[in-house]
Amino acid sequence: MIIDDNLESTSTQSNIKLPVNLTQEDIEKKVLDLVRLAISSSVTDIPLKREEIKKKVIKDNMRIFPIVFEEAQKILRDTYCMELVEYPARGSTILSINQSNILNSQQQLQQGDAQTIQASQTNSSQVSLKKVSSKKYSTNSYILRNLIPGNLRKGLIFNKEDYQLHGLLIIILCLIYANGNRVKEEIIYKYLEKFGLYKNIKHETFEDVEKHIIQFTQKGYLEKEKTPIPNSEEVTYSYKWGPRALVEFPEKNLLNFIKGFYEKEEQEQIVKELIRSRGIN
Amino acid sequence: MDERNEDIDIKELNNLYSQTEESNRKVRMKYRSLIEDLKDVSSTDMLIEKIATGNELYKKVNRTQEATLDSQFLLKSAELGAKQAESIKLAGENFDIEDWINKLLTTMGGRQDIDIKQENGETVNLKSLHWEAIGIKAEPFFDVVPKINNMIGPLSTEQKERKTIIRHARENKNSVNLKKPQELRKEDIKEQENETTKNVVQICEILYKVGRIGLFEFIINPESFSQTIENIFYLSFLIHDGKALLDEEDGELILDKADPPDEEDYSHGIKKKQYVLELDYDTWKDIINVYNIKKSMIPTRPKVQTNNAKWYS
Repeated sequence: MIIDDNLESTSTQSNIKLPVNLTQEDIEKKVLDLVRLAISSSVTDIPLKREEIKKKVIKDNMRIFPIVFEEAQKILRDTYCMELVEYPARGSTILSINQSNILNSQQQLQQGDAQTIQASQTNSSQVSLKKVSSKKYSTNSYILRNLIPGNLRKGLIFNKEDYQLHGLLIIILCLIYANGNRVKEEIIYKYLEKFGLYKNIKHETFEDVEKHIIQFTQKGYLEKEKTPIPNSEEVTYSYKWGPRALVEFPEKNLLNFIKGFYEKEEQEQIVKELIRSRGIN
Repeated sequence: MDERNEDIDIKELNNLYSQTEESNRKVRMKYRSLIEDLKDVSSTDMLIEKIATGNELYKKVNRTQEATLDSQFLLKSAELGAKQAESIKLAGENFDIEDWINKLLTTMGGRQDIDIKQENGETVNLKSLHWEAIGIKAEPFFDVVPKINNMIGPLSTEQKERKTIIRHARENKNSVNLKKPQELRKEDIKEQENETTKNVVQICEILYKVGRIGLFEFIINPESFSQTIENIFYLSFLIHDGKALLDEEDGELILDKADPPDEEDYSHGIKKKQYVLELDYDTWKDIINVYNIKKSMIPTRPKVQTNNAKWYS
């Protein structure tokens, strides 16, 4: 009975019954474990797998996963200003992510304050893009997204080298975006030449550009795609937005970023043009 | 009313099923070439045309087998359509990338007085671009989390795998009995002599010495079953090359030397034949008894030592 009372007072997930052998303390410990695991996972740039959460945090009873997950999310949001987001599946597009975000926010509006959404459903709220994103299979992995308001971030995230690398990365992502989210490899390098970056020529700041592009791909910012040439044995490669870019650089942010380069009166037109260029991807 | 309708249905059905296999085959053929054609489709109009052809063709389909091809065609053309749709530039003005790149270069301090690159009469200094200027601008929009540098205490959830430890211990326990794999050096490896060729030649010499002889008396080695089998194997090469012949006399198999055919004989159509006859252990014993074989005609070859230290390449 005491357990039940605790649950009522500390959280709203009372619709999920705790397994008898677990106390509220057990749950709280698991919640903290998950927070630690999530934060430490961000170091490696490898998405945190649900399986790993199961093995290292939940251990046996996966029924408590939604409770632990949602409680951990609260701590991550309130204390660390970040949250876990499901890593988008291969083939997700900017458009499909947008749609799922819209659906999610509608869900939240309907249910009022996000805090009161019941755990069984919030397992989804910010988290599972999968339900709505065109029935793509779930990756069952998560990455952290920063929730610190943009204007308060200065110097918090990047050091000098990070600034340079993210400068390069954001330019590449924007160029791909403006080309309908698919750009042939050689075209990317054509663009980069305008910035004095050449494949196979050592650059003052970046040394080997190709190395960085490979790294962006490995980290999930870019996705390299093979395109066979019709009636030929050869293939060409194209770059698209990778899953991590979809999470860390939402379209809304991209539009605001590019908008900033233009005069106030031009901005509305620029945003329209950008969305048009993105097409249906 | 109902009955009449049913009549018509049955008629239609019969009509459908009366189509011969041949027309079905034609339909399948057309579908396959249609699917093949999709590879060469380069424009939307061409795709629409192909789909129209497919629709027309579907009217002739009345069995699952052909319908499967139709769905294959549908899938392929839909994929193609989706690809084409992706590359559609929506009507209206598109984002001017060049213009934006110029703005980026300005932000990065790319327009200073040093002439590195002349472009449209403008001077752009590409060497000393301040990439971090873009990064600073990007920071508010990049929702990446800060990387932590340290954390108090280890991740308590991390557990070492015990399995490996156990296995390690067991290996140590038995280490006395463990045999180190032999190290090979170049001089340990001895060129392997070609045993077969050597033995075939030897057997040939013996046969030529003894002349016409019963097959079993020649090949059976009463001391060793395995060498008997080997003898049969070597003998088969003599037969193959025409150096020996196998004859039959009063129901006995007789072996004799022969003149091998020359090139000309072969060109006249003589075919090389080789056959190893089957001999099991019991038969071998029986033969020794029946023919009362005491001594092997072909000397017993020394046993090859299998556990010696020689290695063959």
